[in-house]
Order: sequence, then C-alpha cells, then structure tokens
Amino acid sequence: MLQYKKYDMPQTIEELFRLLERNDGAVDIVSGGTDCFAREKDSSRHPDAAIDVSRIEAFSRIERKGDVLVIGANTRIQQFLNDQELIECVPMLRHAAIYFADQQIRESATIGGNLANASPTGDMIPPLLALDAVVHTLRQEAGKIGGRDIPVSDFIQGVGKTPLARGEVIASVSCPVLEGYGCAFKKVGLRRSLCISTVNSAFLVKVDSSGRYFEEVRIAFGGIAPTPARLKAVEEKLKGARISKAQIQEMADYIPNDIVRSRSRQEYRKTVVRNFLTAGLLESLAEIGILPE
Amino acid sequence: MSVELVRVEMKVNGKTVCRTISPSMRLADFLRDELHLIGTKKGCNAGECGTCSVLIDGVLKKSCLIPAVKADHCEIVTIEGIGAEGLSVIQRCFVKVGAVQCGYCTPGMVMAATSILKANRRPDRVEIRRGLGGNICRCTGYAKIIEAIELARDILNGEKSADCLEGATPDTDKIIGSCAERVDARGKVTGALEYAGDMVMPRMLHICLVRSREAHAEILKIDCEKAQKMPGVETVLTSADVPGEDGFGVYYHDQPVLAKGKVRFYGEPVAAVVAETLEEAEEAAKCVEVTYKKLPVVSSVDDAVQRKAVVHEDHPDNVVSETLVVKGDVENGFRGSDVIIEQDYATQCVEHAYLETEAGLAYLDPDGVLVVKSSDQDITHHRTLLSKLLGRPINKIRVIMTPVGGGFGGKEDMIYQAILAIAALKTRRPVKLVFSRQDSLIGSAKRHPVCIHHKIGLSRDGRIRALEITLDADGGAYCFSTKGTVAKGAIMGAGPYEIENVKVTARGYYTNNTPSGAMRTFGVLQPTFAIESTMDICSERLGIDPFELRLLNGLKDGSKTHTQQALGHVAYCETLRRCRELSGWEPGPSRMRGPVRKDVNGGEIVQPYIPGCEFKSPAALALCKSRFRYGRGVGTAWYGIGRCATVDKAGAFVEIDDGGTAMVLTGATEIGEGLLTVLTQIAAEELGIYPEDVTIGDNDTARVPEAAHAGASRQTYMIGNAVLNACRDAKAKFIREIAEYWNVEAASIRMRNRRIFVEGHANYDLPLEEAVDICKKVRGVVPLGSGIYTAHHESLDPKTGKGNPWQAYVYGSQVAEVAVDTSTGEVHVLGIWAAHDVGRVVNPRGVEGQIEGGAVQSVGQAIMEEFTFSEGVPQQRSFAKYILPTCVDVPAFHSCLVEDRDPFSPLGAKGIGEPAPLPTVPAIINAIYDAVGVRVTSLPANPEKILNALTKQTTKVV
Ligand SMILES: Cc1cc2nc3c(=O)[nH]c(=O)nc-3n(C[C@H](O)[C@H](O)[C@H](O)COP(=O)(O)OP(=O)(O)OC[C@H]3O[C@@H](n4cnc5c(N)ncnc54)[C@H](O)[C@@H]3O)c2cc1C
Ligand code: FES
Ligand code: FES
Repeated sequence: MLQYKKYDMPQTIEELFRLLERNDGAVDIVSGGTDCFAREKDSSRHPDAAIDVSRIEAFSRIERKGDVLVIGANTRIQQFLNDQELIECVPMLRHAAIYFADQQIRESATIGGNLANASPTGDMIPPLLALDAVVHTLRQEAGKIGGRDIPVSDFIQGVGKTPLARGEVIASVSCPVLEGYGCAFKKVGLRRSLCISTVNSAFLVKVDSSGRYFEEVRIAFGGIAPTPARLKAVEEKLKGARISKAQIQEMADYIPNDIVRSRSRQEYRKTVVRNFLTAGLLESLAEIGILPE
Repeated sequence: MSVELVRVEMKVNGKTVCRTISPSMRLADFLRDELHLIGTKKGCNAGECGTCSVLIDGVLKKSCLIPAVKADHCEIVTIEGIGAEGLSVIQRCFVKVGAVQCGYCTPGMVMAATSILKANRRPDRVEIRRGLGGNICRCTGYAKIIEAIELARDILNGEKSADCLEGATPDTDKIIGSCAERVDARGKVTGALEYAGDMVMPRMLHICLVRSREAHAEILKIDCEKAQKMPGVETVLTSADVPGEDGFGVYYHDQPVLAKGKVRFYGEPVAAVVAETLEEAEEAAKCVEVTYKKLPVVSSVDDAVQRKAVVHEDHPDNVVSETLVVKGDVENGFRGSDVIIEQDYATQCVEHAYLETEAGLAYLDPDGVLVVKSSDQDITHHRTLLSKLLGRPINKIRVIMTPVGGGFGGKEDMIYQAILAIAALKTRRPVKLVFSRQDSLIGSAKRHPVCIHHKIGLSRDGRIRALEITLDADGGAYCFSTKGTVAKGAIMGAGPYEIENVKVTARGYYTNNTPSGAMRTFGVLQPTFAIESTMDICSERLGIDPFELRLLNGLKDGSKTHTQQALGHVAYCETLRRCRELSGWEPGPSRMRGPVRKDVNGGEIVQPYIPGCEFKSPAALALCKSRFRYGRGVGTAWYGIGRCATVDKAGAFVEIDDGGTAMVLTGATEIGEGLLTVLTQIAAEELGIYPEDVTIGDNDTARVPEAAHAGASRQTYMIGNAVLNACRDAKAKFIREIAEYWNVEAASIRMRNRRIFVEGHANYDLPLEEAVDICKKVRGVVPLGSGIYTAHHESLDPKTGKGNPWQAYVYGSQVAEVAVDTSTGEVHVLGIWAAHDVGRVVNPRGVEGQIEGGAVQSVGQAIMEEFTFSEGVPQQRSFAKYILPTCVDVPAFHSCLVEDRDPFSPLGAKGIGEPAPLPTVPAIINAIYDAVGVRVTSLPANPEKILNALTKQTTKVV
C-alpha cells in the first residue's frame, strides 16, 4: 500500500513532532517500509500522509549505557549481523536476525517497525521478550515532548495492537547486556529464506558456577497465539534445576495445554513447541559449552 | 488533501536526474516509468521476488518497497549501469554457463551477484546461496546461476582465466551437441529486452479489470454509469461489447470474454475499465457496481459429483470429459495376482508462478489490422479465437508474441487477449493490460488438483499383473485444457511399464475454483507421483529393489503400451541403469533404509541449510544436524512428444542470405526454454555456418509460418525438424545453382565452416558469402527454402483408448536424496541424480537447464507449494502466501543424458521440457519414506504432514 498524497522525511525529533502536530497525528509512521509498502493495495481508509522517520538520526543511534544497550528504533535487522557492538552485546538478536527475510529486506526492515507491527510471528519479538527489553516511546503532550518506557511484554498486546497512542513513536528499545548466557533462536516456516514463521522461539540460558544447575532460563514463543509470550511455567521449573537431558525432556510436560491458541495447524504447532523447547535449551547450553548427559 | 508533488534528485547509473513526482511513486516505477530503465522488473511489487533489485548507495535493495522520495539524494545503480562498456564479467559468466532462461529474474540476479561479489571476494557456495535468498527464479533451478557466480568469483580473483569465457568456435559440423551460447542471452543479462509490460505506445490507454468477488453467482446488474463519468475514463467494457460470437477455450468455447449472466469463479473478469492512466482506471473500477445473486458454490470434485450446483448449463453432470484406457482384463489379472495393493493419492492445486505476469498491448494498425502483442505461448490458436470473438477475418488480426518471462503452460490458454482487442477496436487507440501479481494468482489457470485411486496386483516375483486407476481432476470453472490433461493423464498414468491388464478411468469436473489449465507435464505429473509411489510401496511389500522392480516391469524394445501401441526401441531401462550408476545407489527394497544405508551423503550434495551456521557454536550446530534423517528415493517417467492423439505440424522458411548468413522464419515460441538457440544451432550446422550467422526472429502470425504452440515438449521435435527440412530445401536449391555454375555434380558439394566446396578440389571452394553473390547475381536465384514437419498421431478409441497417440516417447529416471528435520518436519532436498533420454542432445547446457529447472519446480510441488480455496475463494494472493523454492531450498544436480535417436524424424532429437520434472516429485516422496518411514500420499509433503505423522509413529512405538 503506497498511496500517500504527502510524504515527509523529518531529520530531527522536533521536526517530527511539528509535522505530527500539523497533521493532528493522523499519519502513517514509516521506517523501513517493508511492512507498510508490501501490503496489498486496499480501498479501506488510510491516512493521506506519511511521516518517514528513517532519517531521524536520534532514532538510529546505538548507545551503550552501563549494562544496557539502547538500540535506536531505526536499527536495521542486517545491522544485528554486521555491527560488532550489537553482536557482542546482544548476540540473541543476531541469532534471530539471520532467520529474518533475506538480506535485501534486512537492509531496510527495522527493529522498531517489527515491534510496532506487532505481528504474532514477528521474528524479533520473542528474542526481545526473552531479553526483557524495554521500548522507549516519544510523544508530544501540551507542547512538550515526553516519553514512556514500556516493557516489550506490555507492548505487544494483540495482532497489530500496541499501546502506542496517536502521535506516539518508538524512539528506541533497550536490552540488558547479559554476560554468560547461552542463547538460541528456533524458527520454522515453509522454506528457509524469505520465510514467514509458523513458530519461532528464543532461548536464554544461564548456568551456575558449577555448570551443573540452571541459574536462569528465559523462553519466548511466537506464532502460536495472537501475541508472542514467555513460557514462565517452564522457566520457573528450570530455575535451579539440575542440568540433564532427562530434565529438559521432562519440561515438555510443563508446557501449558492451551499454549497453542492459533486456530490453524494446532497439532503441528504443539509438537513444534515441544521439540523447539528441548532443542532450544540444548543449543543454548551448547553455546556456553555445556553438553548435558 | 491534494497530492503534494515532490522534487527528487538522484544519481542514477552515474547521471544526475531530477524529477517532480508523486509521493506515492515506488522507486521501481520511477526507474521504469520516469527514466524508462525497464531492466528493473516488477514481479510481485511486494518484496518477495527480487526482480526489482537495485543498488542504493551501494546496498542491494528491492526497489518496489521503496518510495522514490526515500531515495532522494541517493546513488542508484540499476542493471543498465552494470557493464556499461560491454558485459561485466558476471554477465558474461551468466551467458557462458547458461544461467539465463526466460530472463525475467536475470537483471535482479545479476544485481544480486554483483552485490555478493562486491561485499565478499571469496564467497563460498553457502554464502552465494544465502546472498541470492531474496531473488526467485522459476526457470533455472538456480544451479547455473550459482555456477555463474562461482565462475565469476574465480575469474575476478584471478584463479581462473577470463579466456574460458571466449566461446571456442566449433567446426560447424559439431554445432549440434555443443553448448552454443543462447542467442537471446545478451538482451536478458543487460535487461535491455522488452517484455510486454515494458512496452509503451503514444496515446496508450490502460485497463483495469473488475473481477468477481463471488465464486458462483448470477449477475443481476452491472452498473457502469458512475465509472464511465470518472476522470480519464475512455470506456467501460462488459460482455455486451463483444462484437463477434462470444465464447472461447481450447476444447470447448465455454468461457465468455467478460462474465455473461453469471460468474463461475472468484476473480472472473466482469467488466474492463479503459482509461488514460492505470490509476484512473483503478479508481473508476472501484465504482463499477455489480449486483449478484449468490449460487451454491461447487468447491470440490465431491461437490461437483453430488451436483451441489450446476456450473455450466450444458454440462448438467458437471463432467468436463472422460477418458478410458482399457487393455486386457484387470479382474482376470487381479485373480492371478499374489499381492494386491490399493492406495489413494491426492495432489494439490499449483500455480505456474512465472515471474512475468500476464501482459499485452493491442492497437489498430494504419491498414485496419488489429494487432495484439502479448506474452503468449500459442499465437496461432489465439488468432483463430480472436477472429471468432471479434467477428473479423483472420488476416485482419495479427498476433505477435512478446518475449515470455516464463510460461510453463500458463500462457498457452487464452485469458485476457480478447479484452485488449475489443478495447483497442472500441477506442481506436493502443491499449495496454498488465496483471498485478494478485491478478495473475487469481485470474490465471492452475495445475489440476487430482484424486487418484490405485489397485495393483502383482505376482510374488514382482511382475505387475493388473493395474486399475481412477483419476478425478478438478477442472475449475472453465474447461481450458482440462479435456486434454485428463486424456494425457489417462494415457500415461499407468507409467512406463508393460502391463497386460490395465484399466484407467479419468474424469475432469467443473467446479467453482479457479480454472485449471495446461501446466508443464499437462496432467501427467499427478498420476506419475501416484504410480511411482505405488511402485515404491510394492518394492517394500515384495522385498525387491525399486530399480529391479522397474527393470522387470519397464517398457522394453517392442513393448506394447497401455494404448496397445507397439514401440520400437525403448530407452527406459537404459535411463534406469544410468541413473542407478550415477547416484551410486545401494541396492535394497524401499524399506525405510535411510538410517542404515551407506549411499547417503555420498557424491556431491548440498548440506541442509541452517541459518547462522557460520556463527553457531560447533556443538550447537552438531545438535541441529543430529535431528536430520537422510534418505533416498527413486522416481521414473515417460512422456509422449508432441500433440496428443492428433496430427501435429510445424512449418518454416529459410533464406540463405547475403554475406553467407541465413534467415530463419518460423513461429517458434521461445518461452525461456532456449528454443531459438536450438533452432539456430540446427540451421547453422545444416548450412555450414555459425550460430551468429543465423537471424531468427519474432513469432508473428503475419510474418512467419505456423509452428503452433509451446507445449507438449514439441518444439525441438516439431519445429526443429521443420527448420531442418527448410534448411535442406534451401541448401539443395542453392547447391544446385552453384553446381551448375561450377559444372560439377551437386552431390559432390559440401557446405562447412562458412565455405562451399567440392572435397579435395581447391578450384571449387568459395567463401559462402561469395557463393551467395554468385547464386543471386549470376544465376539470378534467391536461395529460399521451406520445410514442414508432420507427426501423424492417431486419435484413440473412445471405449478402450486403443491407438498410437504419439510417435516419439522419452523416458527418465531420477534419484533424490533428502534430509528430514525430525523436530520440525521440514524436508531439505539435497541431491538429484537424473538420467533422461532426449533422443539427441542439441545443446547439453540447455537440456541440463531444463532438468534442473523442472526438478526445482517439482521440489516446490513436492514439499511446499499449495494454492488453496475456501468456498472457491483463493487464499494465496501474493508471493508472501504462495511459497516458491528459493536458492537455499534447492539440491545439487547430477544429470546424464541418454541419446536414443528418434527414428521417425531427420533430426533425431525428442524433448525434455516436460519430462524433466516428472520423476522428481515421487523421487522426493519416496526418499522421505526412506528417511523417516512417513508415506505422504497427499501433496505437498509439508512440515505439518510429516511431523504429525512422525508424532503418531512414536506414540505407536512408545
Ligand atoms: C519479503 C518480506 C519478508 C519479510 N520477512 C520477515 C521475517 O522473516 N520476519 C519478520 O519478523 N518480519 C518479516 N517481514 C516483515 C517486516 O519486514 C518486518 O516487520 C520489519 O521489521 C518491519 O520494519 P520496517 O521498518 O520495514 O517497518 P515499516 O513498514 O516502516 O513499519 C511497520 C509498522 O511499524 C510502524 N513503525 C515503524 N517505525 C516506527 C516507529 N519508530 N514508531 C512507531 N511506529 C513505527 C509503522 O507505522 C507500521 O505500522 C517481511 C516483510 C517482507 C516484505
Ligand atoms: S517486484 Fe520487488 S521484490 Fe518482487
Ligand atoms: S530465468 Fe529466472 S525466472 Fe525465468
């Protein structure tokens, strides 16, 4: 869908809000455009104007702040594969990025767009959930530019549904820089490039100093319900548990029965969730050199 | 709000351009429409195909997803900016290795290749595949594209010499059988070739079709009044505007140009808005109001059988056609069998997915001849239909084929050409129609979904005693090629076996689904999947190796086919033996040997693609790999060459021309398969000149003799022989003149290497160029020849199918190796070993390209593609939903060609286009069984089916 009568590309936040104000917020926000412009033309009502935020430098910055990495909303998916700082600080996102679309789309698609699009199968969402990332938004109220910090788990509220208010934009997302975690990303679709996920999932695993017990486990699944979500029951169960293949296998029993809420391919998705759970945990452990018996 | 035009400035291919444009213009459209850089194509307009890839500030991106304003102040390189001084090394490598077929993906591929090699001087094969992961090619199967990039990499790194790109000119006696470069490759690798959608004419109008939003409904009213008054609208057409006798189709003329009285499928054109611009046409189309009265939707063959509704009033039983093939007595055969196996199969609806969507232009020429130019596989037939629909004499209609960006049968049945023609007649202006990808998906014919039942009886030693098959095909809303595909499926459906007792009952049905039509293999792929699966089941049941079982039952010299045709020499068993050898097959029955067999992972295969393999820890990677189960399977096939059970014919003219060149005129339909190159090679060798000396041209009903359609794998066979005969005719006349001039025996004269001479006589030896001068200027004779070729195929007995439907048959055998991911059910096809009888190889690279491309289409059919309906409403309306194999999904290929020359024709070549994909589907399905013991009988073998079956397996065991 690309039928705007007006297309602005502000360079600064101030300019952005001036434009938003002028349009009374009734605009489409665009960054990479890979969602906005790939949609079929439709006759349903849509705003006449678009504001493209991709040239706002403040949204493109990547900044380390203590043990948090603040990633600009405009950060392109390909950067997670190329940028050394991103690779070192958030390896989880690199594991996910390589499964994302193809390199050409990755050169345009942004992390902010993936979040705002709030697709049940958005590939960056489970990793951000696992990372306990926080979305930083900006909006103008009574002439003042202010913002909100929204945990990703609160940000994705349904298919295409976010708490973003009219005229509110994502500025960045911050991820903790985690030391000593092993991570894995699992995804399946119908092919292996340009592939929409049927199920995707992200895993972060930390073990204790003995290397024999799980210290912390974080698991997030997408593609199986209107919103991607953490598997808290399993996470809790594994916390402090002895690391063994049997233990990991057993975890399948703690997957809630109603975990798959998507209507199609239910049986398949359930099996994949079980299989990914085991696979993701084992691979995460393997990343930190642990191969349980 | 009014449109706020924006001024943009970019550097495109080194030149600064400024334009004032609409903010809604996509970069792809900016390049194509504003700058006329038509090498950037638009295959999907949604980021899914890569035909629009360009470099933006050095980064490869899909220009259809980028508003032109976003590229303001950027530096753009398009295909036109590559190899500005002659071809780039990459382009030359594409030409050299035959990485080009229809050419529609090629500009994007060259851009992607350029980007890959710019970023990384030494990409390995995995990196190359991944780098091409966003560019779809529907023709080549990617193998030669990867090869081209590897070659370019090595040349650019100085590891190979660029000399290998220079074509060594063979002796003209050896042109047939050589890897001559494609005659159309240059225009394709440079993006200079104009396809229909790239063509513009002054004062051209545009069409937007109003399509039905109902699958089955009566049309109560079509209100065009509002649309007529919209800005820019020239006219709105409905069925009332058809000037001649409405109704077209291949076998029955059951389809109206625009829906008449009722609509029979979702997306059926109801009205056509003709306007100054496409945008205006689209806006006005929204205002055409159609009032429907819904009718019950016949959404499946079952619904059709139960007559849930009648789709066509003159077919009250919803049956399109029936074909019977009966030989011997199956009941008797079953009684004499030791083992009887029954099995059901189902195949899905599949889309051709050529990257070039349907497109055409029509106009009246100054002499009142209506010209229709379109991307078309059968201009002869379309001209005949147009004459009837328009009520105009046939010679007042001229149909010209534009370059076809992939056809695969989908551009054989007429679809939109009459609408264009009527619009041009009515408006007296040039008119253009281009399908969007959605139009193409919902508005073009598909491969028939088919249900098959098998009952097979064998003796313990493996002899097939009897085979009974029923086949029901969903023909969709209009007949298109249903009657023919059902017949061909019936004739070939029992496989390349000699069986005493056979009975095949095949029926096609009308439903309210998108019409099914011709698609590569013309109804044979579906029953081939079934019979070759059944053979695998029999192999397991009887404990006989699948090759041995086929060798035992396979057609042999002098065998009688199911239609009781006595064959001459048969190369089927030869392809089996060659394939077995090529693949290093470990003997043994099809008994889920995957886990224990030793031939897997042998020879060159592709490793299953694991994203992130380059940075995953080795231990994690090992875990991923540990979930794969490997297996191998066999599939084989046969195929009749040329039109089925009806006389087939083709004609050609040849002129031996000034300068010792030659002009070949024939209605050859080059749809990417390489036919023009094949014909050029045939003419060159026959006339003793080089391919570059031959001029071969456009397919135009007003300029060239009929050679009929691209289909039935008939082109090399029919047109090749017609061209050969025409060359022989011209040559004989030419030699006769020179013989008289020299006063020697005509029989002693040879033409070779651009010379004409009498062997061993230096006095009688002239460059061809001079000889042509003598022939024309001294003898006063223009050396012209004509040639035809006829294949006298018989129609079959309606009750038993007895008769000789073809004179030439080809055979092929393939082994596929797969890895099944047991955690997801995904199948990776890793290797294909193919042995095909092609009669005689005219161009080895061309044949390989057909095998690779055909096999990869079958990879799609076997494991991923599926066009589905919900109550007649298509569910896959973009390439995001209709999934095609990408470069990381395809296997490594090994092929060997068997040359069992056709005894009936002078050339001896047969065909390969359709036979190539036939064995692949069952080979993959049988390999999946070998790997994990899951027998998929309903295509596609998608991850869901496999994993669900695997889950049941373990619960059974545990
Ligand atoms: C061919 C193709 C393949 C794809 N493959 C994948 C895949 O494998 N995995 C996957 O997850 N996705 C995939 N996508 C979807 C898409 O690429 C991603 O969702 C991408 O992250 C969107 O980013 P963008 O910047 O391009 O978004 P845009 O299209 O610019 O915007 C998307 C949405 O986000 C909003 N938005 C963007 N930026 C902001 C901001 N800063 N503040 C507020 N709202 C904002 C927009 O208003 C819009 O609603 C694919 C898309 C295509 C076309
Ligand atoms: S046209 Fe741009 S990707 Fe298909
Ligand atoms: S050559 Fe690639 S799509 Fe035809």
